[in-house]
Amino acid sequence: MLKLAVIPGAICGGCDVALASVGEKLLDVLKYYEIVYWPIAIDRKLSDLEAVEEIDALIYMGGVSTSEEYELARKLSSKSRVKVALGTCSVYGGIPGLNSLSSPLEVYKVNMGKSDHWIQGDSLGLPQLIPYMAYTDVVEPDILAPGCPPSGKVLDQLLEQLIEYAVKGEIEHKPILLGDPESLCNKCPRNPKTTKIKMPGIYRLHEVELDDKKCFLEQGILCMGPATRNICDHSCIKTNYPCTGCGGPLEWGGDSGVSMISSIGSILLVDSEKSLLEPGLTREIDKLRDYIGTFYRYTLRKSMLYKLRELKKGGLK
Amino acid sequence: MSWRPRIIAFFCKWCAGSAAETAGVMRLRYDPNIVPIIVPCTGRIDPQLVVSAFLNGADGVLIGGCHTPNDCHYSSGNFKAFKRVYMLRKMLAEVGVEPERVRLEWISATEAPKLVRVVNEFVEEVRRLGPMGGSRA
Ligand code: SF4
Ligand code: SF4
Ligand code: SF4
Ligand code: FES
Repeated sequence: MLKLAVIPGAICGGCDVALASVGEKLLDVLKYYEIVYWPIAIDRKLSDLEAVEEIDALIYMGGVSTSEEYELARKLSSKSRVKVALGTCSVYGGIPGLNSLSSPLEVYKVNMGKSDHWIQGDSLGLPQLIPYMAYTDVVEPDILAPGCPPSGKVLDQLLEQLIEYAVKGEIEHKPILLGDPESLCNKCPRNPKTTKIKMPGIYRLHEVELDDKKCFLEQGILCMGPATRNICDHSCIKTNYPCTGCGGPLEWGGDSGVSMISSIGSILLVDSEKSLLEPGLTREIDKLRDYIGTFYRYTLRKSMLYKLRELKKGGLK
Repeated sequence: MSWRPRIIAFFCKWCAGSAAETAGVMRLRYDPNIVPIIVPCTGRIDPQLVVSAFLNGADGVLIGGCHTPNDCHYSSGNFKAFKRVYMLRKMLAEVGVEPERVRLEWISATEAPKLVRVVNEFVEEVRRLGPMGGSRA
């Protein structure tokens, strides 16, 4: 029997529940693996896991936000053969990655107001808040399973990979980014296919009577589809909600934010550019608020823009 | 003191690029800190290229294309560039990078003196902003 450990780092709980909800399919994996640690599913102490000498497959969910999580992620990963980053927080930093624009102290103050436990952390023996990181900033995983939380499709692919590893004893073409290597638009039921997508303006959801058959961008609603990997077979879009980009960029190392502004540049008000001219286009674009929160909602921590910020601060060689 | 700004300039072949050539023929001098890259059209410049330029050591990026509304050789590449650069500058500001490090100008093939003025102004501006990479000398 191979050993499988599932570690919750800085998670909201969503990834843990998503993995547990896979249900019976887990039984196929359990033909090959014994679960040695997974707090939501089995009763084992962390000390038991620390005593295990080698882990065959380690699934790390969530980001890394405290000194304790950092140590755990490093120590356990170093004795694991296959490392899996599960969920967008783990792979790209996720929504808490937006914290990267502030110091841990600033983040703490927003959340905790006057309480000073964090400041006292050391003397009380509490873990310290550290600048937030994705799991992929701490180690290089073999399998990357994005999604906030990961869809059934990604989880199925993950279980297949784990079984394949159990059978073959190796993972080829690492790192493997799960999901399909195409943008969400590619197979989107709303993609107009025969005509080019044109964006008539920029609107917020409440300003438009949504047509549930028509591409969101064609209705002036931001949809991250063009810059997002198909990890979910359009689950939000099918419920008449635009993609907010939880799947991350099309490829590992890609960047969804700059790709998205490039797409918008190609399609926004293309029929009236020559009459609106620069001032007219500017007026429309000025409706966009919070570029980082919109275009990097889930992936800021691994983005080019974050690297640029670090470079600017002098923290990047 | 001895720091010299490194500037990448993307010029479209038809307008700003020709102006740069004309400037050469006319023996107009412009600041040598600039590395011109000729592209077919400014509509070809992905914002990713601009950010990559910074990540690879540029302190400023200048983009020169054909005048709006009607001069772009491919009809409306310049408008695409305008929208992308406008959004990119906003994005840069949000992560604490001065948007002035990216400048977009329309320069026709006959405007060599304008090209020279824009280049020199921009080099001065970037010099004032200092190096992109914090303490890099
Ligand atoms: S990826 Fe989403 S669901 Fe998973 S831990 Fe992060 S926020 Fe929660
Ligand atoms: S932009 Fe969104 S709605 Fe339109 S085709 Fe792409 S994924 Fe579908
Ligand atoms: S549609 Fe977009 S936001 Fe929704 S699950 Fe898919 S990738 Fe995530
Ligand atoms: S050809 Fe000059 S901007 Fe398009």
